[in-house]
Amino acid sequence: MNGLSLDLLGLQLFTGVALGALYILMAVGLSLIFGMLTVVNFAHGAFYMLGAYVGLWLMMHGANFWIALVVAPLAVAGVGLAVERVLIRPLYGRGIDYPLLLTFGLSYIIVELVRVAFGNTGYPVDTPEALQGAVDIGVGYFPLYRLFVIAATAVILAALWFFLEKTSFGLIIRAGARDPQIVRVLGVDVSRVWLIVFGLGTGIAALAGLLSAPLQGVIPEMGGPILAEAFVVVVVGGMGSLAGAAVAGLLVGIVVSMTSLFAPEMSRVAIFALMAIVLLIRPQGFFGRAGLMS
Amino acid sequence: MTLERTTGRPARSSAAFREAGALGWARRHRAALAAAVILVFPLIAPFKALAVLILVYGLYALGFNLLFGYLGVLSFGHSALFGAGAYLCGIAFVHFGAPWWAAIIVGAVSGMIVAAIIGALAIRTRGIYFAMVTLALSQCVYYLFYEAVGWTGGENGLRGVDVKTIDLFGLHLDFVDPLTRYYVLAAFVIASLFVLSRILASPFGAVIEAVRENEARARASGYNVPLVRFVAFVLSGGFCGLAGALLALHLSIVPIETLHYDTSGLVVMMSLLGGMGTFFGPFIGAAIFLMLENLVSLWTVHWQLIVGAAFVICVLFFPRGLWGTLLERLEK
Amino acid sequence: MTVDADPVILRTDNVAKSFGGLRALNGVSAAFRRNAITSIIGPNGAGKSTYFNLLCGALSPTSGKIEFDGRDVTGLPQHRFAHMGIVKSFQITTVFPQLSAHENVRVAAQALVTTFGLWRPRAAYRDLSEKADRILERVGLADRARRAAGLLAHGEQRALEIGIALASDPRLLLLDEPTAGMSPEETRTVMDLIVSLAQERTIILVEHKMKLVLGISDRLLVLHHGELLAEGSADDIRHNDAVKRVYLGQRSH
Repeated sequence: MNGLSLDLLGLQLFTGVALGALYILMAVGLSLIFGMLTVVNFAHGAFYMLGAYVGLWLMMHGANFWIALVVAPLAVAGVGLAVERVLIRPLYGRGIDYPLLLTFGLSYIIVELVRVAFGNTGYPVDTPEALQGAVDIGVGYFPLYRLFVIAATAVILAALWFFLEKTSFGLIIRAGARDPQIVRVLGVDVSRVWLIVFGLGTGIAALAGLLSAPLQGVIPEMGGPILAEAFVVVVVGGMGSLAGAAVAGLLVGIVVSMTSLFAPEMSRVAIFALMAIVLLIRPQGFFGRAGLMS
Repeated sequence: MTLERTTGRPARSSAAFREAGALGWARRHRAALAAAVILVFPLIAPFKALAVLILVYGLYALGFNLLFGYLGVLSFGHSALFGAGAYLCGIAFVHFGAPWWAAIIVGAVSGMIVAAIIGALAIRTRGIYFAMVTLALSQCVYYLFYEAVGWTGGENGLRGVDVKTIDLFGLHLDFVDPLTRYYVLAAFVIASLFVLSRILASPFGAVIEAVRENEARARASGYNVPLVRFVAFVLSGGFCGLAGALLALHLSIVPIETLHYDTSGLVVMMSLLGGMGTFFGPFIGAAIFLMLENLVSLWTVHWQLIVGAAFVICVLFFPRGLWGTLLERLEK
Repeated sequence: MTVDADPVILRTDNVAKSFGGLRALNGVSAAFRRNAITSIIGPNGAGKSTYFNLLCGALSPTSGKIEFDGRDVTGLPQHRFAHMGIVKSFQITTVFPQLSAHENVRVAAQALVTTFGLWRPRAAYRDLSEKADRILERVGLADRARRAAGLLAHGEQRALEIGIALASDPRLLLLDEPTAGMSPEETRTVMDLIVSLAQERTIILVEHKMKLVLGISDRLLVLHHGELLAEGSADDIRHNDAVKRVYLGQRSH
């Protein structure tokens, strides 16, 4: 193998990491929400899409990318808070399928509302000026914006880790993910914890959506494929594990980018093949605890 | 995960008892009654093409309900079973020149084979993972068929599943006529209804309800729960594959959307709207869904908004669906 | 049934169970006599439930061996246990709530006959239905046969629980606190039932309240901190100093 193809591999690896970053952000939110509320959020893809569209709307109305990057996730998190309080809360105790079904129906509504407001066709989104161009990363020139996506994900993950491991609120979340009863015994208002976790998860999904916008543009259906892929990441990494989401997200991103280099027509099938292999060898995922699956 | 279903209501019919009253009689003859409804339906329905679609999606929902309503397992990957049935029926017909009835059998068997593959992987996980894993695997099937352009036509769908006439027992039937087409396809759906009713009344039907009601208890009683799930998934695949095959013959084309995630979601909505876990509810749900879609799309292109809202309201306030709620009222 | 020479039906050899880092059971060796009532007692957190779940196959031991009728059954999947004649009842009432009491017992009995029978209607299996009737009669629920199990009173559900277990024709019946939450009268009824059941099969009882089982047990095992503290007849246990300390110590706070 000559040097050129090694460089190409290196660049493709970075592309995979950038893609993986988006998967990680999606999977982290799904995982948190499931771990805490035992709700599989089928609207997660819709919130991802909503984040991109809210950001787009803000930029259409004069905000710059950076403001949109802060405001859009907060706005979508607000929607998430309302959804949890108004729609999902009545379903607790009615079994694990009902919140799932509700979020599924909700995703239909959100997607259609966006179509009403923005039309069926998509929009391209410009890369912010400061992040245009490419930089030499040793193996070749790599788009600056993708580096930014990787860095932003790293910052979010670090902040989440700090929040979960080092704050008392994070301690409650981790305890609650193991056993909601414990939290109640501790005298914490569980419903408030649920609310915040749901808002946090949807906010991160929205951020991922907006981050993806300059790479892929926005269309109302953009949340569908990423939802399926985020599920793969969660299954591979193990539900309820932050580290699992990070490792599996990177792995899936790299697998996709590598297969698209060697066998482009198989690139979208590859990640599902990966999941199938993991299910056969280690059904609870890399970092999953066997018990959590029941 | 099934503890939520402990809400007080009368016991479901136990085959050991002969229930008294009209409801008990209706329940014993559920397949025949459903067949009667199907036979009369096109005579009162305004749109014959819609009636055929209701037939096809009704069967799809019945097959899905075997898993969701009776076993209590939620799959979000049924489009793979439905779509595999449609595509393999079409491929048998277009590429191999199989007669129409053989193509239908190929479709039903393909549904079972794809179900066996997906099921073998998905039953390794339990509970809530099932919906996620089935969704992901069905997405995989979608891409595989999407890429196999030579066999499936890729993005444009598989064209040329044209059946013009059907010669059967000396009869020469015009398959292009919507009403004839309806009754030809209805024969398959009605046969499925009787088979399904028989399965539900069989010992295995008792086992899947027991697993739904209390998995741990069923295991302690000696049932191999993962294997029960697998078999139910494969059976469900047979009905859904058959429905897909009927769709292929009806449309004379297999659109790639047949395999799309939305087609999985569709059947979930239909079953819940009608009433999961009731024998005929999902079929009625399919009818309501398709008529609603037709009606609402007359005055707005955003019919999904209305349908989505109707579904959310159903989840929140009528979890037993329209038919299920009606039956519950009658039982009291 | 043939008379088996081995008076021991179930044997555990140094079985231990850990959950993550937590050691719930620390090497327990014991032998259970055929057609007798053996009770496993001990204070909360003694490892009773863990031991119970190992005996009925719901859990697999981390180490050690379990032998049933001279056969190594360690690590077999749980549904196989029922087919060998080892059946448990649950501590928390777990019936099939939406099914009738009759169907609850019938479907449990069916497991010995067929799982995947797809064609012959279940109504045609008349023997199963009759067996369910007999069992419901035996546990005192004959007049409740058609009610949804979820609608039965708590005591009735506990009785049904035993009925479901009996439907599997157990040679070894494991009962986990069968009288939990029952009124004194209900408790007496169930205890009488257990004694009568013991004439034909082996019974292992897990109980938190020692007083309840001293009178009816042929043998008792006392667990404490995941280890076997004492073993013997009711009299042995009553006069065992270590046991007294454990139970008195517990009562003092």
